[in-house]
Amino acid sequence: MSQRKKKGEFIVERNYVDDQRIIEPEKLEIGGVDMSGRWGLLVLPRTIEDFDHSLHAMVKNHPRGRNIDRCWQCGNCTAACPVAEENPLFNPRYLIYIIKLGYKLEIEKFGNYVYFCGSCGRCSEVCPKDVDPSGVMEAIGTALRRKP
Amino acid sequence: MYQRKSVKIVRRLRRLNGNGWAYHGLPGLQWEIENSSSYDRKLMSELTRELLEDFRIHEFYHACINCGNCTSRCPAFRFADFSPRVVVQKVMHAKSEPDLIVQMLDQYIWACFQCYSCWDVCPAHNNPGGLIAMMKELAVKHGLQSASKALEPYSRVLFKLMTTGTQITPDMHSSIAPFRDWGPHKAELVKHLREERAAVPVENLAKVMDRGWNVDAETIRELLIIEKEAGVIDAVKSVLKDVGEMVDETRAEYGVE
Amino acid sequence: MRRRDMSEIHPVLVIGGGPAGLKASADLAELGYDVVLVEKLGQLGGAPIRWGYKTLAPELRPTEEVMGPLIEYVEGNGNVRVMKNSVVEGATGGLGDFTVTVRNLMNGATESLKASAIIVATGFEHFDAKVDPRYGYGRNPDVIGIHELEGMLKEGRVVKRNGDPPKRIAFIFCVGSRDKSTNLWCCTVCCGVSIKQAIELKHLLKDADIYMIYMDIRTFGLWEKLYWKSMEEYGINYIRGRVGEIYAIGDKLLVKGEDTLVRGPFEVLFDMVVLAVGMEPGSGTAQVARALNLKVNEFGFLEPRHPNIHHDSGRDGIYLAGACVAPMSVEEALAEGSAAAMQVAKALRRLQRAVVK
Ligand SMILES: Cc1cc2nc3c(=O)[nH]c(=O)nc-3n(C[C@H](O)[C@H](O)[C@H](O)COP(=O)(O)OP(=O)(O)OC[C@H]3O[C@@H](n4cnc5c(N)ncnc54)[C@H](O)[C@@H]3O)c2cc1C
Ligand code: SF4
Ligand code: SF4
Ligand code: SF4
Ligand code: SF4
Repeated sequence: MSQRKKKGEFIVERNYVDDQRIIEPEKLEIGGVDMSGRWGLLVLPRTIEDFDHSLHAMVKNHPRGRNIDRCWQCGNCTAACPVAEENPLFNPRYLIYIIKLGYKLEIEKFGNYVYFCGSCGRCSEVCPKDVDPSGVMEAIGTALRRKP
Repeated sequence: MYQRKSVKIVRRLRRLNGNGWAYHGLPGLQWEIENSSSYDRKLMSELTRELLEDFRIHEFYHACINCGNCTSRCPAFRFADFSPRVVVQKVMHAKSEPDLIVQMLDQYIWACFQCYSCWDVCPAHNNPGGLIAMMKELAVKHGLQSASKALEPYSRVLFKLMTTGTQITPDMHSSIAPFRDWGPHKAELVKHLREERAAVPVENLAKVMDRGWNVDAETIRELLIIEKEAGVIDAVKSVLKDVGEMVDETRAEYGVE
Repeated sequence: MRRRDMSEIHPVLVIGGGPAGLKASADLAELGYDVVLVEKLGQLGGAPIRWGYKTLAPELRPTEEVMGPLIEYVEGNGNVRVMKNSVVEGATGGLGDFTVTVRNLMNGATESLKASAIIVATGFEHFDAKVDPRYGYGRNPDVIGIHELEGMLKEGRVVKRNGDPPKRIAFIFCVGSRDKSTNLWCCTVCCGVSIKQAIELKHLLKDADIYMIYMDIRTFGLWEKLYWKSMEEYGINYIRGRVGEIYAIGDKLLVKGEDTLVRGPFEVLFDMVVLAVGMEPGSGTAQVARALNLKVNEFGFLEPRHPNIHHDSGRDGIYLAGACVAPMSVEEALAEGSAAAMQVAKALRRLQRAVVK
């Protein structure tokens, strides 16, 4: 833990760079020059390079997730959600978006937050497109567990 | 809203974030919000007021349609969760929410390389990079810690620039001190530098190494007078104390009051 | 003392043979007026025919259903004299008694005509995406405009330059629109048209993945249905953001942008990129504005006397209709053509009533 904290410490915008993307060699010498630590630091790009629709397909086949394609990202669900109010990291609209487009990295980061859903159904009451986001949360949870 | 988060939820968050994806439990913008809540309110509104009253704001900011064109070209965006679009959006709403500016001063804006690609493509002709430069100036002027941290690695460059008027000469690109951060291949490059430079049929290229160091005393005096009068020396003192003091020493040596 | 009869009224001059001009001509002819229709190109029908629109938004009905009868009526009706490949070079006089010079672009011959009133319906031109270098349009054949895709759809064959059907297609919205560096306005129809095309592509290429990269979806009025349908029935994907650059890599295209809902950079390979190019007043509208000394607004569209009353050009006896006034859809252009015809009929009836000694 303490070691991770030190990694990339000198980067001014440290809180905006993923830990996993920082490569900091403990010992590195190139051409007789000591490049250990921050001198040899490399930050890997965080670009989305592909869409992976496999989870999306699983959600669509789930009886409660079949309406996911209707979502147009209005945010009514998140606005009504009592969990999102407490915890901005849980965002049903966002979860639907990243699953739909298959943003792997975001799913890796935020996918597990789907289990914060209290299944209260308030979102499904307000959704203008009858997506049933509450059901979609359940479907996403199931898909994430079953993911090969 | 964010302050109301219960301790239990925070603990759960940390546990969920065991693999460190979500930046100490609060990704990007959420981190800022938490951080800015501990800011000195007076300083906060002062900083925002100064930014919004700067005359350049009318040239750099018109209105933002939140399209993301600026960000799509931004090199910093590829590596950090940083987006010039967010910067402009925050400036847009800063009048009613002064926290928004302060939230960016600590870390956010320092991700920007000042390449101005964003300016080039904005359909509304906003200049996100320019707004960021203004904010960086603010951070320096008020001696914020972030400015010290960002500028510290440039101490030597800054000192040379302030006392000679030129920042870098080719012979500074060497693997031997004082600039090893330029990388190991520089050692190779620097071996025959003088001869190679002399071979380029442009007179100034060959002489730049000497001229970059041996600057006319009168030029240096003038430079220091300007820096003194414009308050640059004081500003630098507030973020890089040692550099500022060294420049001050030089100033005394050259008899600038 | 008697009232003038119809035969003493000069024909009405209609400039531009697109939906607005055709509709105005047809309506006037049906009311019994003689019409001279001057069209710059060698065919009637305007943009829908020139670019071969397959169907029209929002219901995907074949373009011929709308344009076919109109063209037939205008060409077959004895009251309309159609002058193709021609432009109006100038007009003197006023309501009831214009003298107009028409030049044939093929042989250069000019003809002087009498006209009682003039309807200007010179329409728009598509934004030339070469002007905005970030999309690589013109450099890469797999980056095409929506107008070109219309033609491909009509032929029923959408393929890449190398002959393969595209697997992954991106539509980029607002190209040459809503941008101070190109055009400031919104072209109002490209969102709907792009979505319509995406649906048609899905019919043609069942396995294709289609991504719409948009800032806002502006499917106004009943066109909204298209947007819903595309998501719910066709699984078309929507990414909110704007594209900064497109590179060709091999025979694919790397599209670089920000997803503004994720704050994440995307750099994804596509087989084909379709640019939703906007509408511009174009050279034809500029030409007619010069010839008839009409006011144009800051964007180059013809400026009506009052912004909410399109048909009134501010010059007596000259009326405006269609996309030369502002970007609009086919249904609106048709309505404006009818509206201008009605204004002409009203004015000419007033003239007829005037007493002849
Ligand atoms: C802020 C800053 C500070 C710097 N400080 C230093 C320093 O202190 N010391 C140092 O050694 N280096 C410094 N540099 C780097 C230095 O400026 C560059 O390394 C150097 O200018 C690169 O030279 P160049 O000829 O390759 O490109 P450029 O200097 O960019 O010159 C290219 C020229 O070609 C012209 N041009 C472009 N296209 C055409 C065309 N089609 N036809 C005709 N002309 C064209 C351009 O207008 C331009 O004048 C600094 C750079 C920056 C950005
Ligand atoms: S069902 Fe879940 S997502 Fe929907 S409002 Fe309740 S807690 Fe939020
Ligand atoms: S309320 Fe419905 S349509 Fe709106 S974002 Fe939520 S799920 Fe999507
Ligand atoms: S100036 Fe800064 S914000 Fe703008 S594109 Fe360059 S790095 Fe990004
Ligand atoms: S490109 Fe301009 S209008 Fe678009 S998000 Fe950036 S600053 Fe705003």
